[in-house]
Amino acid sequence: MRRLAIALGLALVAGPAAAFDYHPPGDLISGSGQGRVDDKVYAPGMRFPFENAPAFANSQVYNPGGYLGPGGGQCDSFNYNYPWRDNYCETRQWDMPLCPAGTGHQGQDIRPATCENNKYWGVAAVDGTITSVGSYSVYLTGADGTRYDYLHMSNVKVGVGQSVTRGQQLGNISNAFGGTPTTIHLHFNLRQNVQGVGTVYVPPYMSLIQSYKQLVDGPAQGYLDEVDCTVVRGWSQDKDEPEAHVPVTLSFIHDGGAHDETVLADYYRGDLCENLGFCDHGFEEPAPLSLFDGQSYAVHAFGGDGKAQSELVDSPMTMACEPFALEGSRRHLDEATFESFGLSAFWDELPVEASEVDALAEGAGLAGMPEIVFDDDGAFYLVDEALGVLRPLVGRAARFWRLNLAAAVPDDGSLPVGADLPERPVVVWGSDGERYLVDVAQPTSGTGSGPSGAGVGGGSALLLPPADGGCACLVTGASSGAPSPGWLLFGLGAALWRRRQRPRTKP
Amino acid sequence: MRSAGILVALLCASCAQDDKPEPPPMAGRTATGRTVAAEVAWPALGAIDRSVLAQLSEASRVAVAQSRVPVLLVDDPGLAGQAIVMAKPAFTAISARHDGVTMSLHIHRLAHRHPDIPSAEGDRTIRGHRGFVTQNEAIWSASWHENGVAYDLDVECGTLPDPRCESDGYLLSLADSLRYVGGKQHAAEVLR
Repeated sequence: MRRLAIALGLALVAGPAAAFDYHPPGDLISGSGQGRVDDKVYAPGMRFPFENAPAFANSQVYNPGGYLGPGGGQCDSFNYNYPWRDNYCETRQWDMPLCPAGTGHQGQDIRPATCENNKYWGVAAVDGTITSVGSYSVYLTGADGTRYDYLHMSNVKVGVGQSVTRGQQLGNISNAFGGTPTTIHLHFNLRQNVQGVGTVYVPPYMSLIQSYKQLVDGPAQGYLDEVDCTVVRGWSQDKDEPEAHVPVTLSFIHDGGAHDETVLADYYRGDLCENLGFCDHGFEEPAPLSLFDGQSYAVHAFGGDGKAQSELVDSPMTMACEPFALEGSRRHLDEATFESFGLSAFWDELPVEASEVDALAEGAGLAGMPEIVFDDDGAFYLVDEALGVLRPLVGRAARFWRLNLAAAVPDDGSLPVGADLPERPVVVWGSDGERYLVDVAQPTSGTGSGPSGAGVGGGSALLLPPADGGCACLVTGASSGAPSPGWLLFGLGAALWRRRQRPRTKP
Repeated sequence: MRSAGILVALLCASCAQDDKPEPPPMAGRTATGRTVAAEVAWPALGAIDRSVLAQLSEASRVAVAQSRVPVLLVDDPGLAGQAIVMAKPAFTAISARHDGVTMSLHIHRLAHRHPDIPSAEGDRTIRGHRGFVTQNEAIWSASWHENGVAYDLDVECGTLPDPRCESDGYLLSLADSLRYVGGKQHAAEVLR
């Protein structure tokens, strides 16, 4: 008992003296089974599931305090020091098809900073949906279907069906285990539907290491390249984990108030490849429409997670945008559709007078979930069921609408191609207290073109907010392929665009 | 400093002509290229079990009607009556908590490509399909393929020990009780 008290004291006051270190994947404690030697990161870009470092990944069974351990208590300081140790596939009798023995431990056990129950927060590893909350479990499922399991949770503050954002508090790390306490730890699983196998628990160790390094390592590098009334754009990379996708916190500040949004620097930019060694470290978000109020906002960008954040070079920049005149039609958006499309009040809602919204012709409501198809040429379309057409995704539409192209299926040819989807969603509120999507003008009857000529199978219209130059940017006309006057200036513009996109890798 | 004129030209030209996406298809804040969508084999319309479907709340029936994958629901009035259905583009999930048990069913439209993981077939039979059964911190789990997509069913007991979580018997009986209640293919019937 005295020894336990001493160990508890040590664990409570002593932080790890050494820098973060870990045993390689698959290197289990001797005699605890055969690990899976696999350095693949199965959940690239995930956030570490604890709010703060330090945390200690190691066995709950074969370490001090475990029933097959060397003695001592769970609060022994040995358990609260680096290096980390993999315990995926640790000896268990239950089927695990990815373990060398065919059986084993499904996830990774992780202790919080100190041996204290219900003190530390487990946080969302990704943006996603809470798909189950049990008596001691929380399941978070990401947009790609990967499930992140948090076991031994208590004081859970999220509910089934709730959307959560990366880093959001879910509940406390505890010893909860169906009324019979276990050691204080998080049992963390990654569950994926693996092609050719089925839904299995995949190794979480390297994903945890990568995300932990982002939490504790040196700050990420990067640049805030551009902020205007169209886009917020830049890149970020963790020098210590050059392959990892780095979270970037965008902070919009006005008159002392700040609004933060976290995005992932994970999109492909060809101009980054040579300089960074990797291409997919860009971020590019549409300028937030909710801030189109004529006020000036300082836009700061910080790369990295938690306390390891650093402000990107050239941050902050300034953004000042006026609301723009609405054109086209309004389409009713119910709450479920707003949610299922992943639309955002911050990014996508334009503050305009309801009377302006009411003045738009009302078209068919948008309903359901986004369904994406692709044709033989690899072009992607949004299935617009209400209009009975396919809406081509051009420019940055897929990214700005946050559409998951990975879920696209081949087009069956049953629907005609309609007008291009606007490059970004524009959501407004009518005087009836309902949300509407501003879309291109729609035909007033089932066939033919509407007043703007942008009806089914007709031309296209891309609605963009005005830039600081005052461009109306409602370009209505023929679909791509037909020459337009814009080409006359396109060469110059594109050249400058590419020049601006060149990454600057100076320290 | 950029001139306003150049920016206007740039933006407008981009509006009109930027119809070539960058090389790999990307999806907003979600990296892609690692997954493949399943080809769903929808059950016949007549396979819908209306009595089980009727136990769902209206919100959950709407979610079933939106589901891109065939939705199965336990034929257990207690659990089905508490079920929350969540339909997303890549998956549909159902969760229910009743009488000390939490049941969750995840139905996957996307499969993750991991070429270094060889194909494998489970050695258990679940609803007549090969699959896997395992236990994870006392939570029982079964996974299998059906209707062209992947299903996994979990059962967690709130207080241990509980006879329902001492073997895979209860889990497999719940799996056997799953009934087809619809999906997007049969949306009208689901909402009728």
